[in-house]
Amino acid sequence: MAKIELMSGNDVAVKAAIIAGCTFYGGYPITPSSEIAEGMAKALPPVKGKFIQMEDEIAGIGAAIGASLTGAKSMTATSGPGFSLKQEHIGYAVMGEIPIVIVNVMRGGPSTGMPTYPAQADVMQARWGTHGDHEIIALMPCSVQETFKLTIEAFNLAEQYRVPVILLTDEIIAHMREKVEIKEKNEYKIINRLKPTVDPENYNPFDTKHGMVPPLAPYGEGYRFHITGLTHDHTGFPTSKPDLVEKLQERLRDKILKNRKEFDWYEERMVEDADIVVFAYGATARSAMRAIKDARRENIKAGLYRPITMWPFAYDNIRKIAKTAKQILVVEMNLGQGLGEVERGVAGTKCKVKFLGKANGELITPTEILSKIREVSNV
Amino acid sequence: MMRAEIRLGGNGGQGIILAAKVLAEAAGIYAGLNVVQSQIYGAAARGELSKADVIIDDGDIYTLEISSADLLLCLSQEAYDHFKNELKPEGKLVLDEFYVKDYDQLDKRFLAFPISQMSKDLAGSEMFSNMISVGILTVVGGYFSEEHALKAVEKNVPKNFLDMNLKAVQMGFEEAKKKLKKNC
Repeated sequence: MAKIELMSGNDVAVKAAIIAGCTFYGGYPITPSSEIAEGMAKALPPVKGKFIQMEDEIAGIGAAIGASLTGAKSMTATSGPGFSLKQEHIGYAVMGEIPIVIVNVMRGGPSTGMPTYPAQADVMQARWGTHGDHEIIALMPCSVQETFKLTIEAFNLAEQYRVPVILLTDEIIAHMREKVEIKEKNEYKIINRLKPTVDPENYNPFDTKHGMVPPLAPYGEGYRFHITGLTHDHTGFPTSKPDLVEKLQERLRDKILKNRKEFDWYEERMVEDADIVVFAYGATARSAMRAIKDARRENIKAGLYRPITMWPFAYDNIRKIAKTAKQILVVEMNLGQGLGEVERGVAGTKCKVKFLGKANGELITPTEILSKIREVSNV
Repeated sequence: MMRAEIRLGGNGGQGIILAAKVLAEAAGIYAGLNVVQSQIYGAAARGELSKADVIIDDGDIYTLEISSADLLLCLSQEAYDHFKNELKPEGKLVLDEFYVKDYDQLDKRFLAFPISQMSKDLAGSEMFSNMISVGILTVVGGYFSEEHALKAVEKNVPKNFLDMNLKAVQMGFEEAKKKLKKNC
Protein backbone atom coordinates (compact mmCIF):
# COMPACT_ATOMS: atom_id res chain seq x y z
CA MET A 1 0.00 0.00 0.00
CA ALA A 2 1.20 3.47 -0.81
CA LYS A 3 2.37 5.58 2.08
CA ILE A 4 2.29 9.36 2.19
CA GLU A 5 5.17 10.91 4.05
CA LEU A 6 6.50 14.37 4.68
CA MET A 7 10.13 14.32 3.57
CA SER A 8 12.91 16.54 2.27
CA GLY A 9 14.50 16.04 -1.14
CA ASN A 10 17.70 14.72 0.40
CA ASP A 11 15.85 12.27 2.66
CA VAL A 12 13.78 10.98 -0.21
CA ALA A 13 16.85 10.43 -2.40
CA VAL A 14 18.05 8.01 0.27
CA LYS A 15 14.72 6.22 0.36
CA ALA A 16 14.65 5.92 -3.44
CA ALA A 17 18.25 4.72 -3.65
CA ILE A 18 17.47 1.84 -1.32
CA ILE A 19 14.35 0.94 -3.32
CA ALA A 20 16.42 1.05 -6.52
CA GLY A 21 18.72 -1.54 -4.96
CA CYS A 22 21.66 0.62 -3.97
CA THR A 23 23.98 -1.28 -1.62
CA PHE A 24 27.00 0.99 -1.56
CA TYR A 25 27.63 4.63 -0.75
CA GLY A 26 31.06 6.19 -0.79
CA GLY A 27 31.33 9.87 -0.10
CA TYR A 28 32.41 12.84 1.88
CA PRO A 29 29.79 15.05 3.50
CA ILE A 30 29.31 18.52 2.07
CA THR A 31 26.56 21.11 2.51
CA PRO A 32 23.84 21.04 1.22
CA SER A 33 24.00 17.35 0.38
CA SER A 34 25.15 16.00 3.77
CA GLU A 35 21.76 14.58 4.73
CA ILE A 36 22.14 12.08 1.90
CA ALA A 37 25.39 10.77 3.39
CA GLU A 38 23.83 10.75 6.85
CA GLY A 39 20.73 8.98 5.59
CA MET A 40 22.65 6.38 3.63
CA ALA A 41 24.80 5.64 6.69
CA LYS A 42 21.60 4.72 8.49
CA ALA A 43 19.77 3.05 5.63
CA LEU A 44 22.47 0.81 4.18
CA PRO A 45 23.42 -1.51 7.07
CA PRO A 46 19.86 -2.90 7.45
CA VAL A 47 19.90 -3.97 3.77
CA LYS A 48 23.39 -5.46 4.17
CA GLY A 49 24.87 -2.56 2.26
CA LYS A 50 28.03 -0.65 3.01
CA PHE A 51 28.54 3.02 3.76
CA ILE A 52 32.04 4.41 3.73
CA GLN A 53 32.96 7.97 4.52
CA MET A 54 36.19 8.40 2.61
CA GLU A 55 39.00 10.87 3.23
CA ASP A 56 37.83 13.27 0.53
CA GLU A 57 35.47 13.80 -2.40
CA ILE A 58 37.74 12.13 -4.93
CA ALA A 59 38.10 9.01 -2.83
CA GLY A 60 34.33 9.03 -2.25
CA ILE A 61 33.51 8.58 -5.90
CA GLY A 62 36.52 6.30 -6.33
CA ALA A 63 35.09 3.95 -3.73
CA ALA A 64 31.68 4.10 -5.41
CA ILE A 65 33.26 3.17 -8.75
CA GLY A 66 35.17 0.29 -7.20
CA ALA A 67 32.06 -1.02 -5.47
CA SER A 68 30.09 -0.84 -8.70
CA LEU A 69 32.68 -3.05 -10.39
CA THR A 70 31.97 -5.73 -7.81
CA GLY A 71 28.34 -5.69 -8.92
CA ALA A 72 26.89 -3.32 -6.32
CA LYS A 73 24.56 -0.51 -7.26
CA SER A 74 26.57 2.38 -6.08
CA MET A 75 26.09 6.02 -5.23
CA THR A 76 27.78 9.17 -4.07
CA ALA A 77 26.43 12.65 -3.33
CA THR A 78 28.06 16.02 -3.28
CA SER A 79 27.69 19.71 -3.95
CA GLY A 80 29.41 22.43 -6.04
CA PRO A 81 33.09 22.32 -5.11
CA GLY A 82 32.86 18.64 -4.23
CA PHE A 83 31.38 18.00 -7.66
CA SER A 84 34.43 19.74 -9.16
CA LEU A 85 36.71 17.32 -7.33
CA LYS A 86 34.76 14.33 -8.60
CA GLN A 87 35.07 15.24 -12.27
CA GLU A 88 38.17 13.23 -13.01
CA HIS A 89 36.53 10.06 -11.75
CA ILE A 90 33.29 10.82 -13.58
CA GLY A 91 35.38 10.69 -16.75
CA TYR A 92 36.84 7.40 -15.59
CA ALA A 93 33.34 5.99 -15.10
CA VAL A 94 32.40 7.18 -18.60
CA MET A 95 35.46 5.55 -20.14
CA GLY A 96 35.33 2.39 -18.05
CA GLU A 97 31.54 2.18 -18.57
CA ILE A 98 30.92 1.86 -14.85
CA PRO A 99 27.37 2.45 -13.59
CA ILE A 100 27.18 4.90 -10.70
CA VAL A 101 24.77 7.58 -9.51
CA ILE A 102 26.12 10.98 -8.50
CA VAL A 103 23.74 13.35 -6.73
CA ASN A 104 24.88 16.95 -6.95
CA VAL A 105 22.89 19.35 -4.79
CA MET A 106 23.71 22.68 -6.39
CA ARG A 107 24.79 25.65 -4.27
CA GLY A 108 26.33 29.02 -5.03
CA GLY A 109 29.81 29.16 -6.58
CA PRO A 110 32.48 29.45 -7.94
CA SER A 111 34.74 27.71 -5.43
CA THR A 112 33.24 27.30 -1.95
CA GLY A 113 30.83 30.11 -2.89
CA MET A 114 27.68 30.05 -0.77
CA PRO A 115 27.35 26.67 0.93
CA THR A 116 23.89 27.17 2.39
CA TYR A 117 22.23 29.10 -0.42
CA PRO A 118 20.55 27.77 -3.53
CA ALA A 119 21.83 28.04 -7.08
CA GLN A 120 21.65 26.20 -10.36
CA ALA A 121 25.29 26.85 -11.01
CA ASP A 122 26.44 23.40 -12.05
CA VAL A 123 24.36 22.85 -15.17
CA MET A 124 27.43 23.22 -17.35
CA GLN A 125 29.73 21.50 -14.87
CA ALA A 126 27.47 18.46 -15.12
CA ARG A 127 27.76 18.61 -18.89
CA TRP A 128 31.43 19.44 -19.41
CA GLY A 129 33.06 19.17 -15.99
CA THR A 130 35.05 16.15 -17.01
CA HIS A 131 37.30 16.48 -20.01
CA GLY A 132 37.18 14.80 -23.37
CA ASP A 133 34.35 14.18 -25.77
CA HIS A 134 31.63 12.45 -23.88
CA GLU A 135 27.91 12.34 -23.40
CA ILE A 136 26.41 12.42 -19.94
CA ILE A 137 22.93 11.90 -18.52
CA ALA A 138 21.74 14.50 -15.99
CA LEU A 139 18.23 14.62 -14.51
CA MET A 140 16.69 17.61 -12.72
CA PRO A 141 13.76 17.27 -10.30
CA CYS A 142 11.45 20.17 -9.37
CA SER A 143 9.82 18.63 -6.30
CA VAL A 144 10.48 16.17 -3.53
CA GLN A 145 8.19 13.65 -5.22
CA GLU A 146 10.12 13.98 -8.47
CA THR A 147 13.43 13.62 -6.62
CA PHE A 148 12.16 10.25 -5.48
CA LYS A 149 11.20 9.19 -8.99
CA LEU A 150 14.34 10.46 -10.68
CA THR A 151 16.67 8.88 -8.13
CA ILE A 152 15.24 5.49 -9.07
CA GLU A 153 15.47 6.38 -12.77
CA ALA A 154 19.08 7.50 -12.32
CA PHE A 155 19.98 4.04 -11.05
CA ASN A 156 17.99 2.42 -13.85
CA LEU A 157 19.72 4.45 -16.56
CA ALA A 158 23.16 3.90 -15.01
CA GLU A 159 22.58 0.15 -15.00
CA GLN A 160 20.97 -0.02 -18.40
CA TYR A 161 23.61 1.97 -20.26
CA ARG A 162 26.68 1.32 -18.06
CA VAL A 163 27.19 5.01 -17.42
CA PRO A 164 27.54 7.49 -14.59
CA VAL A 165 24.23 9.34 -14.17
CA ILE A 166 23.97 12.71 -12.46
CA LEU A 167 20.95 13.73 -10.41
CA LEU A 168 21.18 17.50 -10.48
CA THR A 169 19.12 18.97 -7.69
CA ASP A 170 19.25 22.27 -5.83
CA GLU A 171 19.38 23.44 -2.23
CA ILE A 172 15.69 24.36 -2.19
CA ILE A 173 14.36 21.02 -3.40
CA ALA A 174 16.95 19.20 -1.29
CA HIS A 175 15.99 20.83 1.99
CA MET A 176 12.29 21.59 1.81
CA ARG A 177 9.80 19.06 3.06
CA GLU A 178 6.84 18.05 0.94
CA LYS A 179 4.40 15.20 0.77
CA VAL A 180 5.68 12.15 -1.05
CA GLU A 181 3.83 9.05 -2.07
CA ILE A 182 5.94 5.95 -1.65
CA LYS A 183 4.61 2.63 -2.87
CA GLU A 184 5.77 -0.88 -2.13
CA LYS A 185 9.16 -1.69 -3.63
CA ASN A 186 7.75 -4.21 -6.11
CA GLU A 187 5.55 -1.54 -7.69
CA TYR A 188 8.58 0.22 -9.17
CA LYS A 189 10.37 -0.84 -12.32
CA ILE A 190 13.94 -1.61 -11.34
CA ILE A 191 16.57 -2.28 -13.99
CA ASN A 192 19.68 -4.32 -13.27
CA ARG A 193 22.80 -4.37 -15.41
CA LEU A 194 23.29 -7.14 -17.92
CA LYS A 195 25.67 -9.83 -16.73
CA PRO A 196 27.70 -11.97 -19.14
CA THR A 197 26.45 -15.41 -20.12
CA VAL A 198 29.84 -16.55 -21.42
CA ASP A 199 32.46 -18.39 -19.36
CA PRO A 200 35.04 -16.28 -17.55
CA GLU A 201 37.79 -17.31 -19.98
CA ASN A 202 35.75 -16.09 -22.97
CA TYR A 203 34.61 -12.84 -21.38
CA ASN A 204 35.56 -9.47 -22.78
CA PRO A 205 34.35 -6.45 -20.80
CA PHE A 206 33.84 -4.30 -23.90
CA ASP A 207 32.49 -6.89 -26.29
CA THR A 208 29.81 -5.26 -28.46
CA LYS A 209 28.67 -8.36 -30.30
CA HIS A 210 25.19 -8.07 -28.83
CA GLY A 211 24.73 -4.34 -28.78
CA MET A 212 26.13 -1.00 -27.79
CA VAL A 213 26.12 -1.80 -24.06
CA PRO A 214 28.36 -4.76 -23.24
CA PRO A 215 27.42 -6.99 -20.28
CA LEU A 216 29.40 -6.21 -17.14
CA ALA A 217 30.76 -9.01 -14.96
CA PRO A 218 31.15 -8.35 -11.26
CA TYR A 219 34.64 -8.69 -9.83
CA GLY A 220 34.75 -11.54 -7.40
CA GLU A 221 32.83 -14.12 -9.41
CA GLY A 222 35.79 -15.48 -11.37
CA TYR A 223 35.72 -13.02 -14.26
CA ARG A 224 39.15 -11.43 -14.49
CA PHE A 225 39.36 -8.35 -16.65
CA HIS A 226 41.11 -5.05 -17.05
CA ILE A 227 39.54 -1.61 -16.71
CA THR A 228 41.46 1.50 -17.65
CA GLY A 229 40.95 5.18 -18.23
CA LEU A 230 43.01 4.82 -21.39
CA THR A 231 41.33 4.17 -24.70
CA HIS A 232 40.98 0.44 -24.99
CA ASP A 233 39.80 -2.39 -27.20
CA HIS A 234 37.16 -5.02 -26.44
CA THR A 235 39.47 -6.81 -23.99
CA GLY A 236 39.80 -3.73 -21.81
CA PHE A 237 43.53 -3.35 -22.51
CA PRO A 238 44.85 -0.03 -23.82
CA THR A 239 45.00 0.69 -27.49
CA SER A 240 45.71 3.83 -29.48
CA LYS A 241 44.89 2.39 -32.89
CA PRO A 242 42.88 5.18 -34.55
CA ASP A 243 40.19 2.91 -35.97
CA LEU A 244 39.56 1.17 -32.64
CA VAL A 245 39.66 4.44 -30.70
CA GLU A 246 37.22 6.02 -33.13
CA LYS A 247 34.83 3.09 -32.77
CA LEU A 248 35.02 3.32 -28.99
CA GLN A 249 34.42 7.07 -28.92
CA GLU A 250 31.45 6.78 -31.24
CA ARG A 251 29.91 3.93 -29.30
CA LEU A 252 30.26 5.75 -25.97
CA ARG A 253 28.45 8.69 -27.56
CA ASP A 254 25.86 6.69 -29.47
CA LYS A 255 24.79 4.42 -26.64
CA ILE A 256 23.44 7.54 -24.96
CA LEU A 257 22.39 9.73 -27.89
CA LYS A 258 20.72 6.99 -29.91
CA ASN A 259 18.77 5.89 -26.86
CA ARG A 260 17.88 9.38 -25.70
CA LYS A 261 14.27 9.05 -26.82
CA GLU A 262 13.88 6.35 -24.16
CA PHE A 263 14.41 8.96 -21.46
CA ASP A 264 13.30 12.18 -23.13
CA TRP A 265 11.57 13.51 -20.03
CA TYR A 266 10.14 17.01 -19.94
CA GLU A 267 7.01 18.85 -18.90
CA GLU A 268 5.01 21.31 -20.95
CA ARG A 269 2.29 23.58 -19.62
CA MET A 270 0.07 25.66 -21.88
CA VAL A 271 2.67 25.62 -24.64
CA GLU A 272 0.37 24.93 -27.64
CA ASP A 273 -0.97 28.47 -28.07
CA ALA A 274 1.75 30.30 -26.14
CA ASP A 275 3.40 33.42 -27.52
CA ILE A 276 6.02 33.26 -24.82
CA VAL A 277 7.35 30.03 -23.37
CA VAL A 278 9.35 30.09 -20.15
CA PHE A 279 12.24 27.63 -20.08
CA ALA A 280 12.92 26.73 -16.44
CA TYR A 281 13.95 23.72 -14.40
CA GLY A 282 14.31 22.59 -10.77
CA ALA A 283 13.02 24.93 -8.06
CA THR A 284 12.92 27.82 -10.54
CA ALA A 285 10.30 25.96 -12.58
CA ARG A 286 7.96 26.00 -9.58
CA SER A 287 8.06 29.81 -9.58
CA ALA A 288 7.57 29.77 -13.34
CA MET A 289 4.43 27.63 -13.02
CA ARG A 290 2.88 30.34 -10.88
CA ALA A 291 4.12 33.13 -13.15
CA ILE A 292 2.61 31.70 -16.36
CA LYS A 293 -0.76 31.26 -14.64
CA ASP A 294 -0.68 34.86 -13.49
CA ALA A 295 0.40 35.99 -16.96
CA ARG A 296 -2.55 34.16 -18.52
CA ARG A 297 -4.83 36.04 -16.15
CA GLU A 298 -3.45 39.22 -17.71
CA ASN A 299 -4.17 37.82 -21.17
CA ILE A 300 -0.54 37.15 -21.94
CA LYS A 301 -0.29 33.79 -23.66
CA ALA A 302 2.49 32.27 -21.58
CA GLY A 303 3.58 28.65 -21.29
CA LEU A 304 6.27 26.59 -19.63
CA TYR A 305 8.79 24.10 -20.93
CA ARG A 306 10.59 22.28 -18.14
CA PRO A 307 13.44 19.94 -19.06
CA ILE A 308 13.63 16.98 -16.69
CA THR A 309 16.36 15.25 -18.66
CA MET A 310 18.76 18.18 -18.87
CA TRP A 311 21.59 16.30 -20.56
CA PRO A 312 21.77 15.26 -23.30
CA PHE A 313 19.95 18.47 -24.17
CA ALA A 314 16.69 18.14 -26.13
CA TYR A 315 17.38 20.62 -28.95
CA ASP A 316 14.53 19.11 -30.98
CA ASN A 317 11.99 19.94 -28.27
CA ILE A 318 13.16 23.55 -28.24
CA ARG A 319 13.05 23.73 -32.03
CA LYS A 320 9.47 22.50 -31.98
CA ILE A 321 8.46 25.22 -29.53
CA ALA A 322 10.38 27.82 -31.54
CA LYS A 323 8.17 27.08 -34.54
CA THR A 324 5.03 28.27 -32.75
CA ALA A 325 6.15 30.58 -29.94
CA LYS A 326 7.40 34.10 -30.61
CA GLN A 327 9.75 34.12 -27.64
CA ILE A 328 11.40 31.77 -25.20
CA LEU A 329 12.31 33.24 -21.82
CA VAL A 330 15.11 31.31 -20.13
CA VAL A 331 14.91 31.59 -16.33
CA GLU A 332 17.64 30.04 -14.22
CA MET A 333 19.55 30.57 -10.97
CA ASN A 334 22.81 31.21 -12.80
CA LEU A 335 24.11 33.72 -15.30
CA GLY A 336 23.06 31.87 -18.43
CA GLN A 337 24.14 28.24 -18.51
CA GLY A 338 21.02 26.83 -20.12
CA LEU A 339 20.62 29.96 -22.24
CA GLY A 340 23.23 29.01 -24.82
CA GLU A 341 21.67 25.60 -25.34
CA VAL A 342 18.24 27.13 -25.91
CA GLU A 343 19.79 29.52 -28.42
CA ARG A 344 21.26 26.54 -30.27
CA GLY A 345 17.82 24.97 -30.24
CA VAL A 346 16.05 27.94 -31.79
CA ALA A 347 18.81 28.70 -34.33
CA GLY A 348 17.36 29.29 -37.78
CA THR A 349 13.85 30.09 -36.54
CA LYS A 350 12.26 33.48 -35.94
CA CYS A 351 11.81 32.80 -32.24
CA LYS A 352 13.65 35.23 -29.95
CA VAL A 353 15.41 34.14 -26.78
CA LYS A 354 15.22 36.32 -23.66
CA PHE A 355 16.90 35.78 -20.32
CA LEU A 356 16.29 36.21 -16.60
CA GLY A 357 19.11 34.90 -14.45
CA LYS A 358 20.29 35.39 -10.89
CA ALA A 359 23.28 34.05 -9.02
CA ASN A 360 23.00 35.84 -5.67
CA GLY A 361 21.69 32.99 -3.52
CA GLU A 362 18.03 33.96 -3.89
CA LEU A 363 15.30 31.92 -5.48
CA ILE A 364 13.78 33.66 -8.49
CA THR A 365 10.24 34.52 -7.43
CA PRO A 366 7.02 34.22 -9.47
CA THR A 367 6.69 38.02 -9.31
CA GLU A 368 10.12 38.52 -10.87
CA ILE A 369 9.31 36.10 -13.67
CA LEU A 370 5.92 37.72 -14.27
CA SER A 371 7.55 41.16 -14.48
CA LYS A 372 10.01 39.85 -17.04
CA ILE A 373 7.22 38.19 -19.03
CA ARG A 374 5.37 41.52 -19.09
CA GLU A 375 8.52 43.39 -20.08
CA VAL A 376 9.44 41.15 -23.00
CA SER A 377 5.80 40.91 -24.13
CA ASN A 378 5.67 44.72 -24.24
CA VAL A 379 2.66 44.83 -21.94
CA MET B 1 -8.52 28.61 -2.93
CA MET B 2 -6.83 28.58 0.43
CA ARG B 3 -3.17 29.40 0.90
CA ALA B 4 -1.70 30.01 4.32
CA GLU B 5 1.83 31.11 5.08
CA ILE B 6 3.06 30.43 8.59
CA ARG B 7 6.41 31.67 9.85
CA LEU B 8 7.96 30.56 13.12
CA GLY B 9 10.75 32.72 14.50
CA GLY B 10 12.82 32.25 17.59
CA ASN B 11 16.30 31.46 18.79
CA GLY B 12 18.25 28.32 17.96
CA GLY B 13 17.42 25.73 20.62
CA GLN B 14 13.79 26.74 21.10
CA GLY B 15 12.64 23.90 18.88
CA ILE B 16 10.88 25.84 16.17
CA ILE B 17 12.00 23.54 13.38
CA LEU B 18 10.34 20.59 15.12
CA ALA B 19 7.25 22.75 15.69
CA ALA B 20 7.18 23.61 11.98
CA LYS B 21 7.51 19.95 11.07
CA VAL B 22 4.61 19.05 13.36
CA LEU B 23 2.41 21.77 11.84
CA ALA B 24 3.38 20.61 8.33
CA GLU B 25 2.53 16.99 9.11
CA ALA B 26 -0.76 17.95 10.73
CA ALA B 27 -1.73 19.89 7.60
CA GLY B 28 -0.14 17.65 4.97
CA ILE B 29 -0.48 14.12 6.26
CA TYR B 30 -3.47 14.26 8.60
CA ALA B 31 -5.61 17.06 7.14
CA GLY B 32 -4.73 16.05 3.57
CA LEU B 33 -3.69 19.52 2.40
CA ASN B 34 -0.59 20.34 0.38
CA VAL B 35 2.37 21.63 2.29
CA VAL B 36 5.91 22.92 1.88
CA GLN B 37 8.10 23.27 4.95
CA SER B 38 11.50 24.90 4.94
CA GLN B 39 13.90 26.58 7.31
CA ILE B 40 17.00 28.72 7.46
CA TYR B 41 19.65 26.19 6.74
CA GLY B 42 23.07 26.19 8.27
CA ALA B 43 24.45 28.15 11.15
CA ALA B 44 21.45 28.70 13.44
CA ALA B 45 23.40 27.79 16.53
CA ARG B 46 21.86 27.79 19.98
CA GLY B 47 20.83 31.33 20.83
CA GLU B 48 20.96 32.74 17.31
CA LEU B 49 17.99 33.85 15.23
CA SER B 50 16.24 30.90 13.67
CA LYS B 51 13.30 30.66 11.30
CA ALA B 52 11.07 27.93 9.95
CA ASP B 53 8.29 28.32 7.40
CA VAL B 54 5.19 26.28 6.61
CA ILE B 55 3.11 26.92 3.51
CA ILE B 56 -0.29 25.23 3.41
CA ASP B 57 -2.48 25.14 0.32
CA ASP B 58 -5.47 23.15 -0.89
CA GLY B 59 -4.00 23.33 -4.40
CA ASP B 60 -0.50 22.89 -5.85
CA ILE B 61 2.22 24.98 -4.26
CA TYR B 62 4.34 26.94 -6.73
CA THR B 63 5.56 29.82 -4.60
CA LEU B 64 8.07 28.13 -2.35
CA GLU B 65 8.93 31.09 -0.18
CA ILE B 66 6.98 33.30 2.18
CA SER B 67 7.03 37.01 1.44
CA SER B 68 4.59 38.03 4.16
CA ALA B 69 3.03 35.63 6.62
CA ASP B 70 -0.60 35.02 7.50
CA LEU B 71 0.47 33.69 10.86
CA LEU B 72 3.70 34.67 12.55
CA LEU B 73 5.13 33.22 15.76
CA CYS B 74 7.84 35.14 17.60
CA LEU B 75 9.47 33.37 20.51
CA SER B 76 12.21 35.95 20.94
CA GLN B 77 12.66 39.70 20.78
CA GLU B 78 15.14 39.24 17.95
CA ALA B 79 12.62 37.24 15.96
CA TYR B 80 10.00 39.93 16.50
CA ASP B 81 12.34 42.73 15.47
CA HIS B 82 13.39 40.78 12.41
CA PHE B 83 10.06 39.47 11.13
CA LYS B 84 7.39 41.91 12.37
CA ASN B 85 7.25 43.70 9.02
CA GLU B 86 6.78 40.46 7.11
CA LEU B 87 3.20 39.97 8.27
CA LYS B 88 0.14 40.52 6.11
CA PRO B 89 -2.10 43.45 7.10
CA GLU B 90 -4.83 41.00 8.07
CA GLY B 91 -2.34 38.46 9.46
CA LYS B 92 -1.99 37.27 13.04
CA LEU B 93 1.04 37.58 15.27
CA VAL B 94 1.53 35.20 18.17
CA LEU B 95 4.28 36.25 20.53
CA ASP B 96 5.88 34.96 23.68
CA GLU B 97 5.55 37.91 26.04
CA PHE B 98 8.05 36.27 28.37
CA TYR B 99 10.81 37.13 25.88
CA VAL B 100 9.25 39.71 23.58
CA LYS B 101 8.98 42.76 25.81
CA ASP B 102 9.32 45.52 23.30
CA TYR B 103 6.50 45.34 20.78
CA ASP B 104 3.88 47.57 19.23
CA GLN B 105 1.00 47.44 21.69
CA LEU B 106 -1.26 49.21 19.23
CA ASP B 107 -0.83 46.55 16.58
CA LYS B 108 -4.23 44.86 16.57
CA ARG B 109 -2.81 41.73 15.01
CA PHE B 110 -0.91 40.48 18.04
CA LEU B 111 -1.91 37.81 20.52
CA ALA B 112 0.51 37.68 23.44
CA PHE B 113 0.98 34.57 25.56
CA PRO B 114 3.57 33.95 28.29
CA ILE B 115 4.63 30.84 26.35
CA SER B 116 7.97 30.18 28.07
CA GLN B 117 6.45 30.81 31.50
CA MET B 118 3.63 28.38 30.66
CA SER B 119 6.24 25.76 29.79
CA LYS B 120 8.06 26.40 33.09
CA ASP B 121 4.80 26.05 34.99
CA LEU B 122 4.05 22.83 33.18
CA ALA B 123 7.42 21.12 33.37
CA GLY B 124 9.88 23.34 35.19
CA SER B 125 11.70 24.17 31.97
CA GLU B 126 11.21 26.00 28.71
CA MET B 127 11.55 22.76 26.80
CA PHE B 128 7.89 22.63 25.83
CA SER B 129 7.52 26.19 24.50
CA ASN B 130 7.55 24.85 20.97
CA MET B 131 4.69 22.40 21.55
CA ILE B 132 2.63 24.98 23.45
CA SER B 133 3.16 27.15 20.37
CA VAL B 134 1.93 24.34 18.12
CA GLY B 135 -1.26 24.23 20.19
CA ILE B 136 -1.76 27.99 19.99
CA LEU B 137 -1.05 28.16 16.26
CA THR B 138 -3.44 25.28 15.60
CA VAL B 139 -6.30 27.16 17.21
CA VAL B 140 -5.41 30.63 15.97
CA GLY B 141 -4.73 29.42 12.41
CA GLY B 142 -7.66 27.04 12.17
CA TYR B 143 -6.16 25.36 9.10
CA PHE B 144 -6.53 21.86 10.57
CA SER B 145 -8.14 20.32 13.63
CA GLU B 146 -6.76 19.80 17.11
CA GLU B 147 -6.86 16.08 16.50
CA HIS B 148 -4.64 16.46 13.42
CA ALA B 149 -2.14 18.39 15.52
CA LEU B 150 -2.12 15.77 18.28
CA LYS B 151 -1.52 12.98 15.77
CA ALA B 152 1.38 14.88 14.26
CA VAL B 153 2.91 15.44 17.70
CA GLU B 154 2.61 11.76 18.45
CA LYS B 155 4.50 10.94 15.26
CA ASN B 156 7.32 13.40 15.84
CA VAL B 157 8.32 13.41 19.49
CA PRO B 158 10.21 10.74 21.43
CA LYS B 159 7.94 8.24 23.17
CA ASN B 160 9.33 8.97 26.66
CA PHE B 161 8.27 12.59 26.35
CA LEU B 162 4.99 12.05 24.52
CA ASP B 163 2.72 12.66 27.51
CA MET B 164 4.32 15.95 28.40
CA ASN B 165 4.31 17.09 24.79
CA LEU B 166 0.64 16.27 24.38
CA LYS B 167 -0.10 18.15 27.60
CA ALA B 168 1.84 21.11 26.27
CA VAL B 169 -0.08 21.17 22.99
CA GLN B 170 -3.38 20.90 24.85
CA MET B 171 -2.32 23.76 27.10
CA GLY B 172 -1.76 25.76 23.91
CA PHE B 173 -5.23 24.86 22.61
CA GLU B 174 -6.89 25.98 25.86
CA GLU B 175 -5.01 29.23 26.31
CA ALA B 176 -5.58 30.20 22.68
CA LYS B 177 -9.30 29.50 22.94
CA LYS B 178 -9.54 31.58 26.11
CA LYS B 179 -7.68 34.44 24.49
CA LEU B 180 -9.73 34.36 21.30
CA LYS B 181 -12.95 34.39 23.31
CA LYS B 182 -11.77 37.39 25.31
CA ASN B 183 -10.81 39.25 22.16
CA CYS B 184 -14.20 38.76 20.54
